[in-house]
Amino acid sequence: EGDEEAKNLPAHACKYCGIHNPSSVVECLGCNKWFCNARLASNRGSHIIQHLVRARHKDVRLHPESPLGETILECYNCGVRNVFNLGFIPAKSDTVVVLLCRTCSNPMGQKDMSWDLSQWLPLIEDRSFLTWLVKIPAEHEQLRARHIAASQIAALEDRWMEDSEATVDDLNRPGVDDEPEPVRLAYDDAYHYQNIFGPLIKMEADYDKKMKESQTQDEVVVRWDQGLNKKYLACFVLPKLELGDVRLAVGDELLLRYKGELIKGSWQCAGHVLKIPNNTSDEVVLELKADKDGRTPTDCTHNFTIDFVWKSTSFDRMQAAMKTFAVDTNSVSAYIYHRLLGHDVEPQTLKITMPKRFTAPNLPDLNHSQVFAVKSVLQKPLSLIQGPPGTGKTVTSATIVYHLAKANGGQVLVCAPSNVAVDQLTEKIHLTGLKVVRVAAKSREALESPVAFLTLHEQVINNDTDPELQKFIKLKRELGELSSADEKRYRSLKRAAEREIIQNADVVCCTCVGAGDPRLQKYDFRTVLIDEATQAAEPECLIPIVMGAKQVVFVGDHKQLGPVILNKKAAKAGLSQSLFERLILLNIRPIRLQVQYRMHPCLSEFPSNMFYEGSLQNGVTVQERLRKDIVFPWPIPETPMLFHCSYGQEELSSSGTSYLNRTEATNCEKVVTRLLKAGVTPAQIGIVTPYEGQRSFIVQHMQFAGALKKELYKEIEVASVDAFQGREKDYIILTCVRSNDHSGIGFTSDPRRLNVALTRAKYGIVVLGNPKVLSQNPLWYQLLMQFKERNCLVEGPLSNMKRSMIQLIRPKSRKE
Amino acid sequence: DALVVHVQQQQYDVDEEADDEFEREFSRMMQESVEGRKHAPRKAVFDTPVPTRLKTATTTVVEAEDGDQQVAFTLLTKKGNKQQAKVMALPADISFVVNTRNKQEADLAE
Ligand SMILES: [Zn+2]
Ligand SMILES: [Zn+2]
Ligand SMILES: [Zn+2]
Repeated sequence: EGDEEAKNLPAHACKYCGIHNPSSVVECLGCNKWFCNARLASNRGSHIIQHLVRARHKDVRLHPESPLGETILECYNCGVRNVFNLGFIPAKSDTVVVLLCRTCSNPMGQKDMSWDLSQWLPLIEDRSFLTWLVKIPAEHEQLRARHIAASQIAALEDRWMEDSEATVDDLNRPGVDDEPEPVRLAYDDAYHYQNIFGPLIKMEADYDKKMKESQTQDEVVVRWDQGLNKKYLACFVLPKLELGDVRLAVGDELLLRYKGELIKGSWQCAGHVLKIPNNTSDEVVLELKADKDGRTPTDCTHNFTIDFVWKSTSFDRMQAAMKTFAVDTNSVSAYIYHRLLGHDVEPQTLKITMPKRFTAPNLPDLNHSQVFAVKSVLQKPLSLIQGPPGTGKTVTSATIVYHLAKANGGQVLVCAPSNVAVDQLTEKIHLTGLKVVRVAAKSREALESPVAFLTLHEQVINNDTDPELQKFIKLKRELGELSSADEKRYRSLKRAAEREIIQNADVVCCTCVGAGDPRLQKYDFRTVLIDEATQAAEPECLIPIVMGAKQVVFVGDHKQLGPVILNKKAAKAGLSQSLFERLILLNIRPIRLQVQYRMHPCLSEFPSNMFYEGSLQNGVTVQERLRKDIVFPWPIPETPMLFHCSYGQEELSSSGTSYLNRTEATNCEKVVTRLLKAGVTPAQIGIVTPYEGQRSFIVQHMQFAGALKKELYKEIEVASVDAFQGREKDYIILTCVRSNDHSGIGFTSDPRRLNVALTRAKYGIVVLGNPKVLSQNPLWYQLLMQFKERNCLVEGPLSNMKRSMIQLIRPKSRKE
Repeated sequence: DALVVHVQQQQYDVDEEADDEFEREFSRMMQESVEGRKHAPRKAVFDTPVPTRLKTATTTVVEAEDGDQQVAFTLLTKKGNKQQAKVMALPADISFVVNTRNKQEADLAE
């Protein structure tokens, strides 16, 4: 499809450093490569001279767009082209010069006396071309060029002996078995950046591909259904998902194949995932592509196979973004360029008129730290906002976007790594009255969304200015398909309508990867806000930035979960560190939102102390977070928190790769039943567990063993910590699962995961776990101590809980 | 707004060995070029006159973007056998440019 094409350097770019100003480059006629006349860094000669000397080439030509136009440098008299032998000769009394070789400028035997041969001025001076003949690139051009070392130049010249197409990147490409080079804090230039991140992204892509393609699921049983758009829906359970090795997201592509004997020949059809397993059902729903030949075997239920279809789109877009970042000097402003690469840059202030009022129309009033954040961000070309749990990150972001759109005139691009976050933000920005368009992937167009009316494709449908387009849309809906001529016409009308909608929008919202959508590639976005920036890998964040950014606002919280990287080697090499985190390490201070409006103050205390230097203030009072109507046996009624000690063994789940804990599942059901009986609705309860094995066990167990109606339990959301990030529930039950003698607590030990798990509840939290095992982790030890000191560490049956007398032993070494 | 980037020295890899090698090769190349020409058969002596249409040109000093003084000169080149004249801006402080200007000023004074 060629969607993800990055910009390329022009053919006349310096093969060493990429500089491509026509006045600064010359073509070597020995190899037809171009080189510049800059002497970057410590190189003793300019690039063109370095090349000529190392390759032993001697003839050059100037660029057609240089001041002299296309000119081969040669002796006017004898035509010799060796530049090491050429020099300028002036006329004695006229403003005329010629190029002559050393021999021809010998005055012996000359008759015409109008030239001053004694003034021969060599073309090459101080190991570079005369700088008025071939201009030295401007300083900013040099700063953004690739910084190539003399040794690399030598190595590249060696390569060219065998492969004249080799590039500097080929030198840096690691071998197949090499350990990847780790990420750095700072990079020499954007090519260096690309050389580090390119291989990491490739590793992750290869791994993802391998995992996906090896996950064929046989013996799938299909239940058939039909959508409103007449497309067939295949519903089935995928036991492979429990492994956790493969991620399935709404919009993903799967291939359904029939292997049985009930129909002649083979049948297969691709489709997009509409629904993934949740608390109501473990089914995956796949919307199949239009059934053109009517062969869909809807009478068959057994003998189906599912293949995962791997898509390279997101990885391709990251690679393309890194390339654009290096090659295209308009991709980001010089300031952003150097800042992202970790160079030492003098601070800059943007000229923006400060609004008189910081609250945006139809959004809640801001508190002092939110106002401070908005204020600080507007005039800065690059800023970080840290939003701890419940501190109003989305409202703050939407307010910032409002002011940026009003102040800059230009469009604002608003992104986040996840669709959910983009939708939330889109909704809020829409409230302010700005014109917003949500650009979603084509594969997600059929999905329900709270902001469906703002999506590009719905706006096209609802746009009544073009009756012809409307006619086609109607026809397509009724017939499912158009003739190929009509389809062509329809597409071009649709594209025009899309263009108009995008152009008229104040704000364009999409996921980070979505910013690489072909429909957005013709636009420049000088202002970019990236929400959940701490959950994106660096190159992912780069996609929306390299569309012309001059001002970038990152919003996130590096104390919560980071990007999910599946390949362990790539993660270890640093791909799991977000750009937000690296910028902090580069001493860009994040502006922290400090007032939390979610948790009962007793619930925010530990996270505040542990993760936010105690800076989190409570915007809600104890009174506002006590539900007197809900009778629940909290050990201390004013502090609705408890840690319930259980010592039941963990066990491997049926898949053999995940864990479950029956004792905790049983206790979990009892807590849930108690809460439901007290009047809490299922939607207000969330069950958090780090393991997929425990998730599906609890779902089944509650429905099987629960004392109340099955339907009530079905409505309760049971999900991983990761799935709860960014969300809240009134009551949270956290089941830790791990309980073993050899004391591994697996990924419960990531402090950021613990932070997320502990900060989801508004009114109360119940932790189920084995204190002996968990307390061997220093952070969990601290947490358990807090529960103990507050008299909330308990054991025994729910109806008769007692304070636990367990002696917690401080772990010796602090290791995470 | 001007952007000030503080380039740290360690950002560039200094590579003495590769630099020295270049230095040696450069000298060799220069030497060879000079000597090679000595033994080459000599072409006709250069005695093309300055074309009359270019003789009337006088020096005009202009200020370049960076504030440097420049003088417009004509570069005489050949395309095949055809003579071409291309205008180029030379820095006013090149010795032969200074010479030419002095001479023209003297001529004017006479
Ligand atoms: Zn060459
Ligand atoms: Zn160069
Ligand atoms: Zn000659």
